[in-house]
Amino acid sequence: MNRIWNTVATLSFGIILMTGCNKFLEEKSDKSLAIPTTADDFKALLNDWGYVNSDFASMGEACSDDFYLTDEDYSSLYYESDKRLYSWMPDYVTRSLSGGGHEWWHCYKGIYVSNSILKGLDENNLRDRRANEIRGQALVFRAARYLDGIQIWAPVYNRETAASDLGMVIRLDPDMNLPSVRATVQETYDQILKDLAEALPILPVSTISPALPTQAAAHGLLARAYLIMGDYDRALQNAEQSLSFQSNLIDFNDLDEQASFPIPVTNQISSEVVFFTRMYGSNMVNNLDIAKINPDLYGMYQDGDRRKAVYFRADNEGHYLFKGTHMGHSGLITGITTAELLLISAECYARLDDVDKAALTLNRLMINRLNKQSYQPYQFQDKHIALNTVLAERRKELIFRGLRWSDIKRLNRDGASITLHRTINGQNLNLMPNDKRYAIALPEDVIEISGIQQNSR
Amino acid sequence: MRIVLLGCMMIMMTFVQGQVLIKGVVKDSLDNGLTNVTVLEQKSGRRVMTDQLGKFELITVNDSGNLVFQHVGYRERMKAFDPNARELLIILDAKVSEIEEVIISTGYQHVPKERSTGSFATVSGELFNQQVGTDILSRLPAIANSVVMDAGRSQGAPQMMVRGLSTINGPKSPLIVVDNFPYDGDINNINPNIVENITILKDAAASSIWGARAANGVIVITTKKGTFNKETTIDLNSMLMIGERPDLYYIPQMAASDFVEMEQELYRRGFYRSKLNSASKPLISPVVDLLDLVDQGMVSKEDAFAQMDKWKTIDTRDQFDRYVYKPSFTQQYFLSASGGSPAFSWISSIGYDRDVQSLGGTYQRLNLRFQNTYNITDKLSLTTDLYYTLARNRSGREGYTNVPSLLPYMEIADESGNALAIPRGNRKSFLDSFGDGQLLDWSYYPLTDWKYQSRNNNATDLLGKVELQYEITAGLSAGFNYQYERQGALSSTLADEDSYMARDYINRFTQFKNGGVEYIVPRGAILDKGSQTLIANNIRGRLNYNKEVGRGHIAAIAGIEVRSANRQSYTDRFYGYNANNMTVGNIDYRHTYPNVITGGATYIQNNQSIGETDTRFVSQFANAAYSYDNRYTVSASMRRDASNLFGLKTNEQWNPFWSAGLAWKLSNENFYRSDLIPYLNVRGTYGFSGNVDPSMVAVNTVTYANPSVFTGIPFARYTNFYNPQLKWETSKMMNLAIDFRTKNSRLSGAVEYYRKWGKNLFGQAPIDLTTGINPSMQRNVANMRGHGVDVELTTINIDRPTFQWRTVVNFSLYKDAITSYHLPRTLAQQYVNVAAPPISGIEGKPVYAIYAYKWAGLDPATGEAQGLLNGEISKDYASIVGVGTKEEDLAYFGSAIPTRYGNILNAFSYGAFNLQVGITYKQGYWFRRSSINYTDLFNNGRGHSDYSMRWQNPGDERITSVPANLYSTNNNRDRFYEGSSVLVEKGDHLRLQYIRLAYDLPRLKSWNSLQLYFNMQNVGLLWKANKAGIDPDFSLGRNRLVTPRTWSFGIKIKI
Repeated sequence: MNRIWNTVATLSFGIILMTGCNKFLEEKSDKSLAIPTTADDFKALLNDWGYVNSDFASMGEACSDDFYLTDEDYSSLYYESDKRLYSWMPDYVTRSLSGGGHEWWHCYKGIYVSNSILKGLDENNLRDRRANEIRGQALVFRAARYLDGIQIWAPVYNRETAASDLGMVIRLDPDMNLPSVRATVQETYDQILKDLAEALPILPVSTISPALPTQAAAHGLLARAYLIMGDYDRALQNAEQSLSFQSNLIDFNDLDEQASFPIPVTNQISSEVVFFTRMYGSNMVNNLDIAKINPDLYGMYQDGDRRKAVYFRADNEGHYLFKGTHMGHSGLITGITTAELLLISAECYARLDDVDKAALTLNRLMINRLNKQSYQPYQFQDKHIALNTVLAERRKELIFRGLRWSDIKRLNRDGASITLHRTINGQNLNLMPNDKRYAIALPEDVIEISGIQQNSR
Repeated sequence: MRIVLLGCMMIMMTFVQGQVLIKGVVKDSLDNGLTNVTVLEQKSGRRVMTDQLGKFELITVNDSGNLVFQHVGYRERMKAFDPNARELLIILDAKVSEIEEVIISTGYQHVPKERSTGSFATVSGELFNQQVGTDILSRLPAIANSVVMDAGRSQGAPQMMVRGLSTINGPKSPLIVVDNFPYDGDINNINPNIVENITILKDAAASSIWGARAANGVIVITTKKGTFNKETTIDLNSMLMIGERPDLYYIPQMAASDFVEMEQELYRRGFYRSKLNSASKPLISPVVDLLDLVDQGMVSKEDAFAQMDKWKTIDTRDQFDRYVYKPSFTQQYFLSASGGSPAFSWISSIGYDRDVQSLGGTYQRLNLRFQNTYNITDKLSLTTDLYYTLARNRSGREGYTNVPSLLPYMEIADESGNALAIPRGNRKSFLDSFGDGQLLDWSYYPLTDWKYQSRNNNATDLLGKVELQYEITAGLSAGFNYQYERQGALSSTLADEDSYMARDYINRFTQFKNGGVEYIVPRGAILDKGSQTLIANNIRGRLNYNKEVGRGHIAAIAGIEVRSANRQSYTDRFYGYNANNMTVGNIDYRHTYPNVITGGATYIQNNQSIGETDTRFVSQFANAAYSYDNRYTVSASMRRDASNLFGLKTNEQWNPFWSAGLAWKLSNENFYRSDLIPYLNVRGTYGFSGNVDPSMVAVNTVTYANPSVFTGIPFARYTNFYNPQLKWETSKMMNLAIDFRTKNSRLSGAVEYYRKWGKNLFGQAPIDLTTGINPSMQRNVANMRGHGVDVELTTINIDRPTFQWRTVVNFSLYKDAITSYHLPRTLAQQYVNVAAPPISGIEGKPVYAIYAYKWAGLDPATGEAQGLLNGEISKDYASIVGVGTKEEDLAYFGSAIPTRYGNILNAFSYGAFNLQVGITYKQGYWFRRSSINYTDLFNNGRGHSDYSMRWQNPGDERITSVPANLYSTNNNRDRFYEGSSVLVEKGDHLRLQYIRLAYDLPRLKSWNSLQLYFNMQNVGLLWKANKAGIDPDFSLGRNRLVTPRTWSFGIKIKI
């Protein structure tokens, strides 16, 4: 009897264990883990500013002419790839992954987040207003990444050749096993415009922070994209639409020029920022101690331009260094500001021959930048002067934003003949207009593993 | 009545006073007289030795009592004597029979080794105790078969390996089992004095019972238990260990004079100009600071150069050696009592360890243990085991490697030993005058800062076990085991207001206002608190069947096991902490404040985190062995595991393992007749196991983190990427072995040969970064095969009554190779990972191998390193370390993990003296040594002693391979040199691990045994293949220190 009872007890012990088993094993192994299925999960992914808003490309800025390095600073650059980049070498200009700063990967890790949010929202059939806002925001981030990347790794948009020029690898699905294939420049821009157009109707009008995109952000990116493509009507239209949501400007007359970072910020973003994205933070451009301002550029600021002191500080040796960031610390933004939108509008008006509106728009900005006492509003007589003035103001306002590189590319396309010069240890280097090196080399390790095509060298 | 008693006692007294002669003869089982057997009369402690015929005569004052007969080669025997038995015949059994009774513990079963088919290595308590110390695992490589500590693949603590690696991902170290269950807590909590023996499960048949966690071998620690029917005995062990000061001169530090001159030259070349002009006043070295002050006219040139000349003569290691590092002291006390009646056995122990480390940090551990077994009825027994640990850590002084931005010429103390400040955080001459005296002192004193900032960790660990054993019928029994473990650790780091950390943090946030200051971070201490709690439950129900059936014997076990481990943790930080009245300050974490120096907007760190993990396992297992006629044994085992691995569907969680084995005891066959080898056993096993990787989850998973600084909403990030192509990692192992023993056990041992096959090994693989996924993600990278030989030999070299010499040799061969690599394209640069050798993807080559860029000497004109590109000598470093080098262009050296390793233990005993010497060796592998990296030197101040041997003049390339200092950096050139073949060294070495000398005092009334012992451990290398003066076990990583030699003295008493 006893024996039977014991056997039964043992067996039932086992059976209880096995049936309770599934429930027992359903407990999460780590409470902070989740399978993203809800709108909240996707929202949280979108909030990962370290991946989503950060690490936009700095390579273009590094190759541009707003700053230069002294020979000493050039030779003290840690990474050889940075030296090669600065001296416009045709290859090995990307940092190794272990060194940090692999900008190709930075671009695509942002795209991955967007792709997986978009796929996840669809797979979980999330289609209410809130989910759609998230969908729209993911589309904006993806477009922002492609727009950022194509300035670096492709030749400038050129109507005649865009359909054959090599553009970005367009990935719209997070599946890592899909092969990488380079699209054309036209296809890349088409994708950018498509994403933004699709996002617009579902985006919110306002968000808690410019780190999350709004309709104004999408219009701002469209304005930037159309400007680069040379579609000035649409660029103007989108810039104006974006400004209709937000047109706040900081009056530089009110600022303490002596402060290390004079432009005021709330939670590390200034009130002129419409859409917040940030440049990769540890290379020669972001080292504001070594990136010396090109004297030609500094010379462009007239007396009474408050930016001279708000943007720059002089060191003991007479070099000028940048301090006018919109983050309250040395971080550099690459996103959209109201000032950029005004400058896009003014440029488009000038190009479309509406010189009065160009002046009017430009003056909206200038009154907040120039000394109130000596301020003289611009008035333009002809298109040529208007355009040149707007472009000069554009360069003076938007420094260290990652915009100069694409500006040089598009202006040279249109015949501006800007040749870049650099002197390194007594050696003069020139980058002629429309040089092949305006499409920076793709990382060699990516080429090797994926087999995608390198830019022609 | 009383008178009678009294009378009896009187009579006894007289007997006691009288002298008694006891005579006898001691013989072996073959009726031969045994010479030199010690005969001890217990009460008086008198002892004599037997003569050549085995006869003895002993005179004692006691009329009755016990005689103890001892001989090294024979089992000890006790025999009572009384007035009726004065002529004794004692037969001693040879100790040989003890070897036959080795019982191995798998954690599930205790099996006689003779009846097992699997591969087990056992470490007896006696062998284990030849080394001393506070922990258990570090002793194993010197004494166990097939265990090696590999220091060549990662820079952290060396990793213990049993038979190489089976899995690359997952838990890499072997599974540690204490008695019946895996030990989830900190293994350092277990006091080595409670260890009875250790079994290492090496092959699939041995370890498959432990499932997926056994992939890298299993180490089963069996603790001491009480014994039934035994008088109470008390064991006492007390030990003092003194560790030598670590040898700081092993660190390849650049000479101070070289360093100062290098900085002077860089300064002259304007290298530091931007730093000196920076608004954020970055940290600069004393030399650069001084040179700049000269240029500013603040310091005279003569004074400055006199100062710098003085610095050239400094070696900061001298100062650390003198003021910071002290000998370490470890005290160990252990008291244990045990005994048992027919129905009850018990053991209780208390241990206390106190360790004062060379940096003055302390470690204290208190262990209490109570283990009891009750035979409630003759069928039901209950065992309870309670183990409690209290461990305390307190940090000590700041060592050479802990002081940030330390340079070779820095002084941390003046001539009289007073602390000196060194630069930290920002430029020192700036900080010294900054803030008009309104800020807290911003100096950093490495010598004394530890007094104001200390880290404490208090851990308690409660381990409770219950085992019920019930015999259902003869042979069939049911068992139930339960183990509860609760480990709690509270850590705190207190940086009081005088500490650099607190002063620095308060200063950074201080705001100047209206001529005064406002503290954003309140004054007072900064206190970090953290807590980690582990609660683990293990339940096991099992049925055992153990029965003789005719001429056969069946041993089987089946059961179910459920395990859960819940870990909770939090950290928190308090600013403005005042220990006197227990108050803390108010903090605004939501707004940014400008840094007092840079003006940059920064948030105050809240250092808060909270986490919880819960791992759960359910397993079913069965294991059976059938032996027939003591000749043939067949065995089989099976196990299935399921866990709550996140994202797996329950039906995909079950993970099957199995094994099968055969053994044939040839020497028990009728046809077998060998006097030379009276025992011969052959056995073979085959088993299958697998491992599942967390990234095998069928979905992408994300991990949540604290709120975004911009939006204030918690954010999440992908941590696992769904990869539909990912497969299980599987591993198979085959083991063939011969056990043998020669006549009189002169030579005994086992030779084992194994092969293993790993399929779809997980590893990091170069990935197309265009996918955007995290490049460190695991993928199936390769298939591998491995094979090896383990030899375990015990010899009795000399066996004289007065002098014995025994040797144990453990020898292992291990080789593995990639059989196929799954990824189509690979980068040569991936194989030359200087930080740690990665999995190589070349078929036929070891899984972890050392590859290097081919070295073409130094350029005779410039002293630059030269490599090869497309077969030509080249200095195109970007291409060489980029995609210009293909894998076939690399120089291949060999395995990065030892392919031949083992240990040699010699034990000598001469009378009451015992001497044991343990030697370990590792051979057949390679490592990469460090050298000068100019980019790192200029930018981070990290030099290398090789600098003094650099190329300086044409012709030097014939005597050195250290590249010249060109005062311009090229990190690709440095990467090439660091990864070049000229820096690869052979790892082979022979190490004298320990020497132990023990003396057994004659047995006395007051003790059964008393032993004095002296130990020397980590004695040093006896031989090494490399000529660079590097100890290969301490080669990877920066500023490694060799574990210092220790000297110990101790006493063991048994009462």
